[in-house]
Amino acid sequence: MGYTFHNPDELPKPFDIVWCKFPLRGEVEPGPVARPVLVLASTKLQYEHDGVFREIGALIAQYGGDFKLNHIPDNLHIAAGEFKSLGLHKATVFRLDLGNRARLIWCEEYFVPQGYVKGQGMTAGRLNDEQQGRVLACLKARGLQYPLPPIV
Amino acid sequence: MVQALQRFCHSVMDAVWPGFIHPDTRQKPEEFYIGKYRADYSPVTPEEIATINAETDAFLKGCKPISR
Repeated sequence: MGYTFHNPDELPKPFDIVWCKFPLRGEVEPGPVARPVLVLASTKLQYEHDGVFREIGALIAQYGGDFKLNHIPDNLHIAAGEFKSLGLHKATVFRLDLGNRARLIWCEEYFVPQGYVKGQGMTAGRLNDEQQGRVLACLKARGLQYPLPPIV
Repeated sequence: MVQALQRFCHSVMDAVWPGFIHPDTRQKPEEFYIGKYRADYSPVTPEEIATINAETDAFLKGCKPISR
């Protein structure tokens, strides 16, 4: 798979929420779908191709969903009163287990601009201090390390 | 008429408050779009994530961390 890299200077920071196109489940009119992901780590990397070096970005993110029928402990629950300020459309649960953790290249193939908050670039929203604390508590309860180990 | 007024108000708010979040009132409650992409809140399977992680790991073998 080839990548069209986004500007690494616009790489999201930990606790930002961005929209991710993966995985694609067939073409849906008017186009494929995008899912909200919570960034837990991001880094700039040096990529070499045909003797040319360039700076790119990579990140680690957790997928979000509505999970209407389940109350699942040790995950970040964004409630009805919180989602709008984060650029989300509804109450959302970010699953914080390793099974919902993806390593992603910062590129057009995966990430799309949120487009509805002027001057905010690719980032849909950012967790406040209290929400960040909830994430850290969930990771601790799961026995998961934070900060995360280096991506490379 | 109402939508035109809303768009005008949003443009004014955008000008004075760059972080202003305005909903697109033309969208149905369960059909939100991020540009041309439909916002999907359905779960992703661990198998799908394992696939993307394998692809990313293969690519990252050609990358090095940047020391500052």
